[in-house]
Amino acid sequence: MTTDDFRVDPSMGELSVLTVHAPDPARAARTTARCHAVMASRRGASPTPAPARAIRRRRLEPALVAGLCAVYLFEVLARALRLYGF
Amino acid sequence: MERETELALVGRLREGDPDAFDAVYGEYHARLYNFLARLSRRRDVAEDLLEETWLRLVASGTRLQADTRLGPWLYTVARNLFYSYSRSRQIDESCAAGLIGLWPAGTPQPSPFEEAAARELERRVERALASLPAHDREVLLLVTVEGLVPAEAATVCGVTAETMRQRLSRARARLSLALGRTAPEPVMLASEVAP
Repeated sequence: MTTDDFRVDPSMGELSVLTVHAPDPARAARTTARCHAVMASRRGASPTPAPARAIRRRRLEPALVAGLCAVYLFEVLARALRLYGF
Repeated sequence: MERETELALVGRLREGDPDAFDAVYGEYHARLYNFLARLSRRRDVAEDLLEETWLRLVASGTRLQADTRLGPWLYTVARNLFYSYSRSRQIDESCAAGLIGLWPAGTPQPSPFEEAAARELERRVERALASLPAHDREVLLLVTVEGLVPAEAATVCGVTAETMRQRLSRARARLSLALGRTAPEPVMLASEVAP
């Protein structure tokens, strides 16, 4: 049996009697209003697209952390050398 | 929905066009509602999950892939929301209470015998469908009621095409039993055939 045969199977055919029920119109109106509000707030929220900011942050953060680590290690090394008289 | 129209709508959704959202909403709102109501067997839960599905579309609109298929995308979100909800509430799948009252009976009025018979058949099918496990219901709803091709339904359910074929076969057999018929012959899978 192929998957297409399911559409002509009597049990499957009987599923076609199922009525399409309408959702609550008041709830539907609230949903669309909420979605439109979210879309409007996104349009007016930021002139810079969020993904661009995220990419910039992803590049800057590791560089900053690496720089601070380098300064710290250099200072530790310098103090150790000084301690042993070099 | 024509593929070209769908691609145009996806493009406009990516730009945050509210008219594109309205068009998609008009096309899928009732269908998603019926899918969720029959999957969850509760209209109030379906309404909540439906609203969340649309909010997810709005939230992800700008990040949609240009070639996104809206139907499968929406059904995937709706299905995942249902399972998240079920897990969070630890819903007992075996509990079939309330399934008979899923849809209101409508205004009682005298009607011809054919109409009464059709309503009775529909109630019987609704009851049989509601008595199946959620994994069977979703497969039957997606493929038979919502008209998704099995490959799309497989994507929605996050399974392979072969797994979907097996699940369809099982769901069909269980529905037949629930409708009081003899289960159809099981499909012999290639992997089950002795070499």
